[in-house]
Amino acid sequence: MSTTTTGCLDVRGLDVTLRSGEGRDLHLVRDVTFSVGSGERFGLIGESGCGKTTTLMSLMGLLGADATVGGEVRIDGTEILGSGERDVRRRRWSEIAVVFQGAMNSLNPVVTIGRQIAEAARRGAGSGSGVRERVHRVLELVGLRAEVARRYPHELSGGMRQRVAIAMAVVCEPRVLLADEPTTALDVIVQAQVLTALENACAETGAALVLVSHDMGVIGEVCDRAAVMYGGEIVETGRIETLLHEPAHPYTRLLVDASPRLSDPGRELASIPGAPPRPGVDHAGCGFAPRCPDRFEPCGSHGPALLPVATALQQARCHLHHPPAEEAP
Amino acid sequence: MAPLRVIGRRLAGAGVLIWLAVTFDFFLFRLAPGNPVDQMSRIPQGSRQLQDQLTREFGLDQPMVVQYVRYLEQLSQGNLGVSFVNRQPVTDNLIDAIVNTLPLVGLGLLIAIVLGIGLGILAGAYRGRPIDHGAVTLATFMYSLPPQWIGMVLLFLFAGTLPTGGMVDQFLIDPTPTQYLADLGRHLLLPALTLGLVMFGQYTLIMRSSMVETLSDDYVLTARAKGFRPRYVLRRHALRNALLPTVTLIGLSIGAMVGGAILIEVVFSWPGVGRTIYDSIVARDYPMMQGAFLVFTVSVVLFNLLADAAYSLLDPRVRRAGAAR
Repeated sequence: MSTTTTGCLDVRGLDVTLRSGEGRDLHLVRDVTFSVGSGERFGLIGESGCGKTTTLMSLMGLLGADATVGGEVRIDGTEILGSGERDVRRRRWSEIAVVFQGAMNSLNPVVTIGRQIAEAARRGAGSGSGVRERVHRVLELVGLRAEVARRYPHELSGGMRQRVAIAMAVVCEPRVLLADEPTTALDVIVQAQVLTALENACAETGAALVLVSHDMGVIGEVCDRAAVMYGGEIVETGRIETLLHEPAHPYTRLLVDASPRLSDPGRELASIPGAPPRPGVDHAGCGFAPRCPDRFEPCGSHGPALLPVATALQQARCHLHHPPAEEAP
Repeated sequence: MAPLRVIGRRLAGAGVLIWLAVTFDFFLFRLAPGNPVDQMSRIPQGSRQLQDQLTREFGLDQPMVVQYVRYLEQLSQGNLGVSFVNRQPVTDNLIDAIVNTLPLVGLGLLIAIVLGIGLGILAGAYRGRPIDHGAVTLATFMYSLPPQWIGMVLLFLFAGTLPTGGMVDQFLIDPTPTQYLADLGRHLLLPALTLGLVMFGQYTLIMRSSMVETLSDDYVLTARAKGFRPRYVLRRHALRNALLPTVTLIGLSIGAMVGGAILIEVVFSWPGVGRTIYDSIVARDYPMMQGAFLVFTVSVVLFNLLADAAYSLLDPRVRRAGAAR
């Protein structure tokens, strides 16, 4: 399942530039490439402002007119970028659906849960027939009773609302399901329920899942593969076990060290010194170099490329593994 | 039944509020300079005896507290007293005034709502575009103009084309119902337009800002992500939520309009509640003032209650919260 084979969702060289007020362009996402197969669960990890959410929003075509999106995005081999607003709208929810960050607020407060899911259900194929049954089925899929359909969002707990958002996202059985920090602001027990709901929903519909989180633990629990993002770029990608146990990029290693682990409760948590780069600010050399404990000569001047480490399954954007030998004096 | 209890408590609160307003008005009018007898006896032959006789007749020779208790006794029997000026029961005078005011407020409000909310929705939906700047500028400008000035400008522009004052043409003899309504409509147009122009600005500003706020809410993004057309998202998801603050404002302003179109009714000689308030103050006609201000108070309180009721129909959060408490 390397990035060279065609998956269900194929993202190649995704580039997002935001035109800012002063005429300066902010390069928010650079050359992001990944591929997710049908039924596969792919994670995007990174600190706030690293471009995870922007990446998802560009896949949905929901960035404003100020944003320029370049590269290729294919669903089942069909290019969806630049296919026109009408076409993008048609694909939303029926082919690619999303569970938003803080989905507690992503439900309309004055409309019942059932009507909101039913409205989403009509976006898919075979609309009209058995909408009620489909609403009840997806609610059941995420572990909620059918009677929840008659309730209003404010009558549900945060975790229930989040599960409703997941149910709503899979009601049309999309090919690709995006989830943006679906468990942020939930306590650990509820978090586990929501993740289970997400896994069940994907397993049932065979959707390719892209899960965005800053939490290594959440990604580790759900995903098969993941990509680590830093400053708008993917700095490492590979199977989740590899990332957790043999990280190639210093940033990945620091992220793993910064997450608590059940197997080693006494371990002191590391923090990463410094702050992430301001979104969209261009830099010479590696974006992580100023905070990197392992930086050496070329890091400040040459930007590393994303290249295979050990096997083709793992790739890292770091000079430690691919020193720019030919350019060294 | 919990909702019934809520309604009961709201009504009781409204009753107390009205009593407080009535009491305040009663003493305020009597403490204000000038009195009805001076106003009426300021005729050349006004003798001392006439003044004393009028004072006794109006019950103004009694201590103020006795007058107040008598007034409350009357009020509790639904009797608003007799006008000092035209010696008709205040209730009859007021009913005439209310009947005359309703079409004015109704049409004025309709103009204000259509213009105000429509413009507010457009401005909010096209935030930052020329139509938004235009709408906000126009709304702020109109809202800041004095009502009587707008009325006079309209009079200046349309005098000759449309009647300039009164409610009906005095020289229309034995009109058919259709003729009567057409005549009423012609008289109604200018004052109602003035009222609409005075009121719509605040609706536009409130509607626009709540529209802008709603459109940036997460559930609107969800609706867009579901692949619905912008217009559908606006209509089905943003509009109902954005309407909530405006409903409260409209409720508040209708109440104020019923009694408060004073300046407009004076400019256009419209024989409504506002005009009655104005005339009764000039004459220091205490019973009429008390009655007219009571209408004013009751309409503010009543439309406030109605706005709350409408709000709870639109917003399930208020509905359940009210029932639970």
